[in-house]
Formats: sequence, structure tokens, C-alpha cells
Amino acid sequence: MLRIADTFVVERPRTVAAALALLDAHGDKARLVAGGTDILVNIKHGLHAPEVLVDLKAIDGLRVVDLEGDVFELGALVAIHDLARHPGVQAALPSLARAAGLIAGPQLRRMGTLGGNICLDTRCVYINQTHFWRDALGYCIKKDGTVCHVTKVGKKCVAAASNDTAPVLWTLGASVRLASPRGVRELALEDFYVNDGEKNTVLAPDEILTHVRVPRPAPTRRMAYQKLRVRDSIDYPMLNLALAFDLDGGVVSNLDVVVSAVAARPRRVKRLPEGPLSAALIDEAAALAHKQVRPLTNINGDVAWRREMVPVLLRRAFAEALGEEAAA
Amino acid sequence: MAGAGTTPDDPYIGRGFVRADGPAKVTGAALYVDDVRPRGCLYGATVRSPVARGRLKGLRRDPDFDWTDVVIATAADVPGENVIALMTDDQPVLAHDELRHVTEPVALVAAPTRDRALAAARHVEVLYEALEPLFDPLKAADNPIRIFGDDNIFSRLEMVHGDGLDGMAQAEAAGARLVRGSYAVGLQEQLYIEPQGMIAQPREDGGLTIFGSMQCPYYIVKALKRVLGHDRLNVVQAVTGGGFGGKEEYPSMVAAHAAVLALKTGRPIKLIYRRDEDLQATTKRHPAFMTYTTAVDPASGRILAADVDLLFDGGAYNTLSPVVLSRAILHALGPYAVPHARLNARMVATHTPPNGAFRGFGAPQVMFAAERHLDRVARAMGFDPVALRRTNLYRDGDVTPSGQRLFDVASLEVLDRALAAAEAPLPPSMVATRPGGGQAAGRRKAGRGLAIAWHGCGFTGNGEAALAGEADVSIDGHHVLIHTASTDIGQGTDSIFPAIVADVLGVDVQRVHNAPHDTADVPDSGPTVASRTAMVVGRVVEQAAHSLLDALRAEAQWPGAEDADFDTLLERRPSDAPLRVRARYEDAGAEWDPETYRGDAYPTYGWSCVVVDVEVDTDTGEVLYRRLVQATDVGKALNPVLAAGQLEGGALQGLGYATSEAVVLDDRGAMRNNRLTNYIIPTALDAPPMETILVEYPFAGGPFGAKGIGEIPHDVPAPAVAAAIEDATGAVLDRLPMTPEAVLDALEARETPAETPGAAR
Repeated sequence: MLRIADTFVVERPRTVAAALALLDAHGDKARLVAGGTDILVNIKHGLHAPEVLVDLKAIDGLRVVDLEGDVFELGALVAIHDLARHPGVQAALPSLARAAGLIAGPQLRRMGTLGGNICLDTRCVYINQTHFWRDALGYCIKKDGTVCHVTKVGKKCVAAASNDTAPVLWTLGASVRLASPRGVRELALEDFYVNDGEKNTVLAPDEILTHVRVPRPAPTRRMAYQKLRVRDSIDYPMLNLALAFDLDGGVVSNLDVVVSAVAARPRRVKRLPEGPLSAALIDEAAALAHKQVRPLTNINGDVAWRREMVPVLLRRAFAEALGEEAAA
Repeated sequence: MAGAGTTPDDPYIGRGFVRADGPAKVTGAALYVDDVRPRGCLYGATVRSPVARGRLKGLRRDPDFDWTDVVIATAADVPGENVIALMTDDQPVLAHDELRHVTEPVALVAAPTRDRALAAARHVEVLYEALEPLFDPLKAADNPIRIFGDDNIFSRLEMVHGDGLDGMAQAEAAGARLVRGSYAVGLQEQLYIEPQGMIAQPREDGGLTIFGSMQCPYYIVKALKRVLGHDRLNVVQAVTGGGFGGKEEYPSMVAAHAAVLALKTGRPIKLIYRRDEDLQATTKRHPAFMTYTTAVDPASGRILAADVDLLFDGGAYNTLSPVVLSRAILHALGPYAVPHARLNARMVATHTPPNGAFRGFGAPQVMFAAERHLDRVARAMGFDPVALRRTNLYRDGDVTPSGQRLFDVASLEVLDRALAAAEAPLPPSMVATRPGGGQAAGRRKAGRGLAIAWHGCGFTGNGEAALAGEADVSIDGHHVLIHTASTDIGQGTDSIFPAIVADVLGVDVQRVHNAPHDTADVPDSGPTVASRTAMVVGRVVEQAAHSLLDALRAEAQWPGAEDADFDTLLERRPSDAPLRVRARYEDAGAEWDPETYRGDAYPTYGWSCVVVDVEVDTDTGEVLYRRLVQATDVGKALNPVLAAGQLEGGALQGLGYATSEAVVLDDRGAMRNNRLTNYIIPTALDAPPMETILVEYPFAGGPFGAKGIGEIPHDVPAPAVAAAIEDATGAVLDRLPMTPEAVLDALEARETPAETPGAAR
């Protein structure tokens, strides 16, 4: 059994302002916790040694699911389980509900939160290990070291973004609302993530992600989410892919494909085609995705196999978005 | 059910009575070793070899670390012999000279808290001179790099049956076709949910009490007598969270370490493995490389002769490997009558962590090869795989390669019943809806595979006679106590034994209890292994219960006592003096020659047929399980619910062996994926709907006719899955595990046939 060092205190503020004040008071000795499903494991592994954990769960107002206006508002503390099961989310944002339902297992989905999943730390076979393991191999860039065991030569950490919700929200044009002592700012999700495995978000140490905002999709919008893993439960993605497009009169436009569990930042496939829905269009998109996405040895699963799965997931996402079972 | 009372017309045996350990485990009241903390307890941790092979030069303590409350023990602190006594005395308690595998224990630390102990262990550096390791088992024999003996072979077995290879030559001359194939399987981890753990507590008489997670209390007694140099010790089993063989021999190591620290500090020591440590340091299922050549009559499909070569990788120390190899060679031909055969088997040493006992104990490896080989014969010669099996299956009166004549053979019945069940539509209540979905249905190929197992129940050969296991039954007021060393590791022993005794005595099972499995009290009923506990020890317990009735009747001085029931005898006892009786295993007269491997290899055999329906996702290589039917001969289902649970859990573990459980070693031989997140065992969502048919061909030597069933369910799910993949796609897989990557490779190989399948001549 891994041990969790009992060297921190837990604070339970009731308001965002109080939470911000605690962050301000403790600086880099403090870390935020909501469901705890990511950070507690990382503390056990010695990746963080906070002196204060600021528990956000007592804050009112961060569990909102507001699907009324032109922009939906989802609170950061919405449980993954509730997101997956919410009838309104299932109807309006089916790819998001589906992605949430594929996260981890039932217990973790009840503990974990939307905000936590968006802020999930990057993962790598060389970092999500015990201190003993990392000590034996030699530390790496992400924590305490100077080398990268994945790329051998690189100076930048390539640990992979492993959140299920991030690529989906990206294709939905979502933004995140961040509160800090300087006020509240709103950032497009694609500007929230940066391509650095050490820390792959621009969230400042004194900042709290409070809400996710998603524009109401047009009635023509189709969307899907596909996840690669060996088991039907528990596991992080070995690869994942979110897709969205408008389908109007049989014509595909605004096709958006975001692939993740590859690099520190989810990756948008570029130069995707538009035009009448056809096998040729899907083939072209699949070929582009295969060409542009190159998995690394940063997470589990054979690299060559994972790359071959990129077009497979894309075809499946099309089938899912079109409500088809077979589209091979 | 239980507690409702019992009469001769209403026995517990044969019913789904409630588990004795259920309430405590469900409510959290059960005390596992880590739930117990003796007063004054210190925590232990293990310093391990960072290399596969090296000459140990010493230890260096980090001068910047605070060592004031830390005790370090090395090989020099072992009071008796520095050896874990098992088959041979090759494995030290702590390495003192040469390091022979990564994670080999080198030193121990004790400290007041677990965190301090773990920190201290990290600050002890093992100093060594690196030596060239030997990893490849195919190059191990006679390699100049020496690990064991003068040839790196732990054990070697040869069997000749009928005319041996002459029979092969004669068959070929008479027109039989030779089919040759090679098969390989990798490591598999037992993955008990509770990691290894032990407490050693000094006794007032200078001895020790060992308390912990284990299958075999008397193994630890035997090992620790040598380590301590005396026998002032008792071993007590804690509630144990799974074993699967992984807690057969390895707990002797953990207990020895805790004991060395307890003696050095004079304090109780608790030593609990972390999961990552447990996965890297403890034993696994042996990898195997197996080559089969068979001569088959082209008209009838009869197998006329076989030549089998088995190479097993034992790792760095011998552990129980010779016994694993013994079971492997005896099961190597599968449940099929072959008149002439030569079988060769070798267990070699490599500089990897030692492999050891695991459910099936050599049988799952060879039965994968035997069943895959039969499918190869079917493919090469144009036979239907099921018909080919039916032609060759053992029948009553057939003789095994060791010369044992078989009776009450359930082979055809398990085949027919499994097939019949699989032909019926899946009951609507069992149709599973998989989460996820979205797979392209058109690219999924459905297939069905079948495989058949036989499994020798109990010890090989004269093992039971040599052990002569004992069990006691005693009375305690109105209650009855059963005293055995046979542990409940989740399989239900603590529920089965009381039900047997309750039925013999005609009392409520609530009045029958297992005494704590403490070697200070219980006799040696043998280890909890080899599908022997319910069958062999259960029978001894049954006899002890009869002996208790006999003893009560003997002391009764009143007329009619010989016909009186247990409660009447109890009420009219002449005194309340303690009464405890003992029964001992009675050998049925089996004949076995361990030199020639001729004779009755096992007291009896279980038979099982597994039918698996899969869908192979031809885009990803994933194998999706849709249904698993098994018909298994259990002799007599003592508790049908527990029996089905054993069979279904074993089958799921077999499916993990088939497609997902890959142990990846790094360049030091250390398990790289030593986490529950990356060593992929199936979850409930990965389990297909299962239908389990209990076939009952009673064994006269077992209680109420019961046979051992602990291991047989793990034997052939993997070859059934391989056959199903072949049925679905034509892809041939002859190695385990069949991961998605391997399946995709096989699908591609199918499209470009590079070699003649089966090399059939």
C-alpha cells in the first residue's frame, strides 16, 4: 500500500474569495484539491509535497449545470458522474457526457470533478511512479531531474495530457473562467493548455478554475468522442479523439478533430476537408489525422499500434456522430 | 439457509450455504495483517539489489540521513542458516556474496514508523561490482555464465510412454502425418489484492510468533527452523486477501525477514510490501517454450505418437520449480489418449526474479500448447477441431503417459454439455450491454473457440502419502472446533470444513468453527495448494468428525449409545473433560515411482470444457468477450455457489492470461509495468456473461465425492480464446498474451502467408 505523508493540513473555505485568500497566504506551499483523485495519488508518489491543501468542495455555486442560455455554464465542482448522467448534457452535448462516462471507474467518477479533469496533471510512464522507482531510474525533467527518458535528448517534458474531457470541450469551443486576486478572466480552452508536460496549463498558482462555458451548439452540430484502452473500465486513454462538425443538407463543414493522450497539449488536426459527406471525405480526414499525430513512448501501449489507431478512432467517431454502428 | 438447522434429510453439503467469513469481510471487521499493530511494533523495509547480477561489495549508509532510530540487518544477522529451505537450499534469506536477480533482498531496516523505515531503506546504497547477467532461457543450459549447478538446469524430466520415438517412426512408416508446432507463454502475476505482509513478535521463551498473510503455515515453520536455528516458533495465519499460489512459498521470505529484524531489535516487526515492490520482487507464473510433434492418422484423426519438448524459465532460484515442471510434463499431452510418446522437460535458471507457484502450477502453460497444437493438426489435416478432440479424448480404461489407467472419465460429458449449452441462445438476462460502444460493427468478426482440460487433483504421485496430512476435531461446550493448517485465502475453506463436520455430526453449522490456523495448535494438514484442500483435507476432516462420534460413543457407558446422536452423546457425557480426536490421510494404495515417473500420477482428475465466444475488432486487434460456457467435473459440489465462484473467477483469470496480462521486463529484468494501472487484469466490465455447468463424477477418496477445483478453471480459457480468434479471423496465435498489438500482427501475417502453417509434412 502506498503511503500518503500526513504532513499537510486541509483548509475548507466556503467561498472562492476565501479560497483565493488561502492561496495568497500560503503561496507555493498550497495546492488545490476537489475530488482528490489525481493529486492524492501524485502526493503519494512524491510529485508534490504541499503543506496546505485547499479543499474546494465546500464552496457553493460551483456545482451549477446551466443549459438555459446561449452559453452553457458548468461549475468546476460538477462530479464526473453527474456530468455523464445529466439528461440535459446527454441531449445537448452528447460527446461530453460520453467522455465523462468513460473516465476511470464508478467510485472515481463520483469523487472526481469536471474542473479536476480539465486540470488533470500530465501523465508519463516515467513520472507516474513511486519515488522509489523514479529514484532507481534517475529523475526526469518533470520532477527533480534534467533529462527526459522518453525523448532521451529533449529538454522539454513530453508527459501526455490524459484528460477525457479536454479534447471534447476543445471541439465544442469551450472556455474556462479563472478567478484570481486580479479578478476574473475567461480563456478559450485551447489557450488554457500549453505544450509543456511539466505544467501544461496557464493556470497561475494563485488562480482557481471556477466554471466552464460552452456555446450552445447549432442544431446542425454533430459530435463524438472515442477512447482507446484495453479494459472497459478504470484506465486512462492510450489515445483519445474528439470530433465535431456541422452537417447541413448532407454537407460537412467546420470539421474539428482534436486528438489527445499523445503530447502535453491536445492536438488539433489541421487542414481538414469540407464538402458533401462521403467515404472519400472521411478517408481524407483519417489520412490527415494519421499523418499529423505521432504518439510517443510516454504512456502505456505500443507506439506503432497507437498511431495506427488514430484513423481507426476517427472513423469510429464519424460513425458515432452520424448515429451509425458500422462505418468502416 | 445456514442456521436453519440440519437433519440427515437436509444436509448443508450440496447447498449454497452462507460463507463463514462473509459478514466480517463485508463489514470491515476482518483483521488482515496490516490491521494489527502489536504494542512496541517497529516497521520493516527491504533493501534490494539494483542489478540483475553483481558481486556484493557492501552497503553504504547516506551520511546525511538521520540513523538514530533505525536498525539495519544484513546476512550477518541471520542467526541460523542463511537459506530459505524449500526444494534445494539455493536461495538466501539475504544476499551475502553474489546478487542473482534485480530486487533480491540484500538488507533490512527497522524504524518506528513505516515512513521512516521506507526512507531509511532508500538511503542504504548497495555497493556491487556488476557482472554480466544471463536473461535468455533458450541460452541458459550449459551457458558459461553459471547460476545454478554446473549447467543452469534446476531440474530435468524425461518420460517414455509406449514405444516412445520408435512409436513415432512406426506410425510415420505406416502413413501417419507428422505435425510440428512451437508455442510460448509469458510471465503472469498472481495479483492477490492484499500484498505480502508479515508480523514477527518475540515470545517470552525467546521464540517468535509469526502472524501474516499466507497459504501454508507449516512451510514457514520449516523455513524458519533453519533460519532461527531452533523450533521455538509458531505461525498464525491472518485473514488473507488472496493467494493464487503467490502466497505458497514466498511468505517464508517475508517471515524470515521480519524474524531477523525482530530478533535484532527485540521488538515486534511489521513488514508489509508496497504494491510496486510486491509486483517486482515476488514470484510469477513460469514462462515456457514448448515444441510439439505429433503423428496423426490421416483417416481417423487418431494421434498415434507424440514428441514433446518443454523449456521452463525458473528465474534465479529453484523455489518449487521442479514440482511445477513435474505437473507440466504429466499434463503436457492434454486430455488425450496417445499410445506412444516421448516427453522432455527442462527447468532452467536465468538472472530474473524467481518464478513459483501460481494456480495451475505448470498446467496452464502446457495445456495452452497442447490445445493449440490440436488446432494446428485440425488446420493442417482438414479435421474439424471438435471432432478431432472427440476422437482422441480419454475414455474409461485409457492409460496415461505415466501408465495410470483412468476410470470415471468425464471428458465426453463435459464436452457435450458445454457444447449443448453454447448452442442455446444466451439467456436474455445475461445479455450484457457494453459501455463505450461505437466500434465499427462491420469490422468486428465473431468466432467461437473450444478447449478441454484435465487436471490432476491433489499432490503429484506419492505426495499425499509422504505428507500424511492430519486434522483434529474437538468439542468446546456445545461447539465443535476443527483444527487444520489449511487456510482460507478467499476460496471458502473456512466455510466448507464446518459444513462437512456439521453434516457428519448432524448439528447446526453455526456450532462448528475453525480454530485459528496457529501451528501451536493445529496439526500439519499440508499446504493450501494443488486443488487438494477440500478434496484431501476435507476427507481427513470428515474422518475426524466420525472419529469424534466414535470417541463419544466409546466413553458412553449407557445402553443405546452406539445409535445415539451427537447432541445426546454430548448431554450425557460422563465428564466435561476435553475431547479432541485426530485423523490422518489414508492412502488408497496408489503406486508411484518418482524415479521412472511411472504409476498413479494423481489420485483423480478433474475434467473441463470451455467454450468462448469472442468478437475480434479487426481495426484495433482487441478481443471482446461475448460469452463463456464451461462444463467442469467437480466430483461433488460441496457448495454449488462457492464452486461456481471458483470456476468463474478462475476462468476470468484465464482470460486475463489470454489477452491482457503482459509482464514487461526492463533491461535489468525488473517488471516495468508494476502498477495496477498498467498490469492489466480484467475488471467486472471485461467479464463476459458466464454459464457454469457443474458435472459430478464422484471421487471415492474425496468428502462426499468431491474433487479439487481450484486450478482447473485457469487451464484452458486461453487456448479457447486463441481458437475463437482463429475461428473469427483465420489469424493464428501461438503465444501468450494475445494483446491487441499481437492480434493485429497476426491478422497481417494471415494476409501474407510467409510459411507453411504447421510445417506439415
